[in-house]
Amino acid sequence: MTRGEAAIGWVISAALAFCALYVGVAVLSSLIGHAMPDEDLLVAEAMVVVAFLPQVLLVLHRRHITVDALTRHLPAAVQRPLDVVTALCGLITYGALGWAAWFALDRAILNHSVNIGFIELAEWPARAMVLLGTAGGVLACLVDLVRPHEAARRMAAEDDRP
Amino acid sequence: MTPSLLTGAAFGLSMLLVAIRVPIAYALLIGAIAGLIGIYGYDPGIGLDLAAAIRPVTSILADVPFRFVHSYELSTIPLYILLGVVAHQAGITTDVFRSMRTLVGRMPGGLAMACICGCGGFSALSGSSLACAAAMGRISVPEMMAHGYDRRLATGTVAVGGTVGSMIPPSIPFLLFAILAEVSVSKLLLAGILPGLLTLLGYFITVQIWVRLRPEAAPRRAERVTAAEKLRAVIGLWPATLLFAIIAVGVFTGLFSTIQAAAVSVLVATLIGVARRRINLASLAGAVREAALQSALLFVMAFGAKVMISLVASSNLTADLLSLTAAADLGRWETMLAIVALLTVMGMFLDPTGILLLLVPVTLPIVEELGFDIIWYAVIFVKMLEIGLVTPPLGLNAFMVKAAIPREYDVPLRDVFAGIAPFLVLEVVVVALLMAFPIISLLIPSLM
Amino acid sequence: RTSLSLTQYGPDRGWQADLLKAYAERVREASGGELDIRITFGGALIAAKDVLRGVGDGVADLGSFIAVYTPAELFNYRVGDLPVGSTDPWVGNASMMELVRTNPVVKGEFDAQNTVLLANSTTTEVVLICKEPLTSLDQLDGMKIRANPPHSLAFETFGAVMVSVTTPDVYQALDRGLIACAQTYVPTILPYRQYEVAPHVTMLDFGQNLAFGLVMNKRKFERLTPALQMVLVQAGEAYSVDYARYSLESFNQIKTELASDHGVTFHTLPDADHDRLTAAGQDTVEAFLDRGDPGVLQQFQALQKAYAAELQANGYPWARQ
Ligand code: NA
Ligand code: NA
Repeated sequence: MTRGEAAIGWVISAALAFCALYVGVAVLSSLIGHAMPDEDLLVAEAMVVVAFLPQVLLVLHRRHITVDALTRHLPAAVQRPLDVVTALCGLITYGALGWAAWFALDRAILNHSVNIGFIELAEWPARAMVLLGTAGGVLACLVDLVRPHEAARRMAAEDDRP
Repeated sequence: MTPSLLTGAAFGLSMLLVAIRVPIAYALLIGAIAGLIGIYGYDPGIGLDLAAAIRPVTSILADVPFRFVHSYELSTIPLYILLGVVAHQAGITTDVFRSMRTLVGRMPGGLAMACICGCGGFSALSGSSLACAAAMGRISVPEMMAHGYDRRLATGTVAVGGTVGSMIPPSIPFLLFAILAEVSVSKLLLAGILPGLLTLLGYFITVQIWVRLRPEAAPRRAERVTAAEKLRAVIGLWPATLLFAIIAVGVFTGLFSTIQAAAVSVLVATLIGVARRRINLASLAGAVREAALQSALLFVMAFGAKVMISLVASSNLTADLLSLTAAADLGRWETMLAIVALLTVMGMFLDPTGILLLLVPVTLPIVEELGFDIIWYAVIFVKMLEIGLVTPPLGLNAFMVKAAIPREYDVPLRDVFAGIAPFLVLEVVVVALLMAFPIISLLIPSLM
Repeated sequence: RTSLSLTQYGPDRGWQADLLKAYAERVREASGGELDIRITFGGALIAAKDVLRGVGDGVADLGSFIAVYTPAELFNYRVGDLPVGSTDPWVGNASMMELVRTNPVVKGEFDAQNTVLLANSTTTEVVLICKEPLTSLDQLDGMKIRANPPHSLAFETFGAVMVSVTTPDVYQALDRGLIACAQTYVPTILPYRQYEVAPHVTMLDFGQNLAFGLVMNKRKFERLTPALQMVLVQAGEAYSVDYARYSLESFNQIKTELASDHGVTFHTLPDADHDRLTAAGQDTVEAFLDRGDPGVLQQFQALQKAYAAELQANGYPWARQ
């Protein structure tokens, strides 16, 4: 695992651990009659990190769920073009989401948008996180486009499975 | 091309991409984007005007996935996945299955039956089918497979077992239905109890038929078990019982919500694991990262499903389909069956919340006009939504199970769906019973 | 013939839905069939939180929006949510419509979002629904309640602990004792069946929420002929008046129904407590003035006075001959 992947792993772990801890502490503090501020808003912010930041890892480690019932028996010569199609579709998906995230980030900064809640939390950091996550997806799909041999080997390995 | 046809073509494009093994997440989103560009860019006077489509489509892509993710309620899913991972590391789930093997190992399909019971118990705590499938999938699939269960039986059981999460109260879909239809929340929640139990009974029967026909799918323990072993097995259940008790007591006394219950049980499971020296900082970090990855995997597929809902809402599809039904001039029950058929088809392609938002407002007047009971209709509606969670091609519960099982037990999606198929046969019987005997749904609410 | 889409976050039920349908019908008739409005209910097209942006972007042509979700974008328009002035729905709505029409700061906020405000709506006055009777502000000390800014700030002054709960979840939160009271509105109590779990309502006489209504995509609006624009605007004005009327009628009717059929008890605060509450509300007004335009607040209060006087003199428009 590269250092970058490890760093991303730590950030998403921290975000999810934060959810469990903050909500847990909120429960404990409510037992002594004290409410933690904006439990829902802070957890929602962490959810954005959990959802978007791992996209690069999902692509690189080929964790995306596919249906290969129809294609697994096709010859190896067809598998490579199918890999290219997948990588291109990934580029379109993350590219479109990233473009939209850029648009939303720009607007959030321009409008000084904030979330409703007791603490006024600016909207832009969460939008920036979406942009970062989808940019990671784009990068990973580009990597996928230029690593054909490994992809072919993976398919072969799958065909060998009982 | 009419907006409805365009929407149909968008679905077609998605399915074509899925067929050539493009990841489901990409396929759904690309189909939806293509459809939206057609809807917003097509002007009968000018033809296709791409520039006109850019801003509305960008807006949908910016806000729909973000709104879905930027949500407190959504955290139940990663938290329950995390609970499953941590409980596994702490050895709690292995203990449960070791005990269950001792206690019910001689019963045919004992672990699958135990898993269905677990789903029933969990659904009484959680309002979400996905959270239910996440927790139980992570906990029970590896254990069943480690005990030699057929991977289809193991994954199918959990995927369908999760769907009772929204039948037995609390239930998010019933809550939403009650709000959209303005009927009593409490009556609607109570209405789900008997249908939920009936569904569980259906699953028991399916498992029994399955393991009788194919005994090799669920290996049984041969040797006899002594009373002392049984006692030890029961004692071995304490950590799991403690976790369940914390959640149950907390939720039912109002001490905390289901989301808070998830967080508290994660923390307690971690403490148990640390006390047993099974969990350290490094393994805990690995568990949290894995739970986050699995959640992200599911969420990105849900984006596509949510954007598809925007497409269906901005086209006239539901209205067109209903006017087709109306034009056919059907009788009272034929109309109801047509609505159920529509729910089945939409359930194949769309996410449940979206179907609820789209179909409840348009079908309710028809159903009321025909003189059906709204509470009964709500039960049928939610039941069909739950079935939609496990039907291909878009079966979020099946995806959840696939995403939540550890990588070393890699199960192809087609095997998950193949495992679900026998249960679907029994679901048809359950739905028929619910439709034929409204008393199943209405008995408990009428006692209020 | 122009087809327009309208997105509504609420369900296809009740008088709010009927009013939107009446709006569409009025527009269709007055335009001689040239404008055709198709309504999508239940937030399936745009989620409640994103309506203002979505309409500005043209995802839908029209939409009913709530300004609470865009506090920065419509900061000055949210003067209508401050706990000041009349609790009368018609006075509130008429003041807001005129404020947006004539005040360049507030109108500029809608312009910046590429939207035009066609109609304004009201929640009717803010009330607290509680599991036990709330008859004194001192009871709030340490009590867990659900309330929304800006009103929540005043409750916090008296020691209430805020718990965030969404409107659909209020029922469960009350039922499970997660909260003892929730800020709500009389017409909301019935559809969400909040009376089943909390049979006590305290009338606060503490302002109403007015910062929501019906917007249209500005570019789409400006592409229409002036005559068609006028049709949409006039139908919007009629909608605002009708909205106030039905709010008032349903408020009175539901209040009676809750008391007689559902055993709800209505409470009021003693005069001294009401004065303390109003004084606490002043902090919220100060907070608004820190960032908002003082002219907007002044004009809003002047408009409310003027319309209240008109109401006093002539009664409601629908009751006039
Ligand atoms: Na449940
Ligand atoms: Na499905």
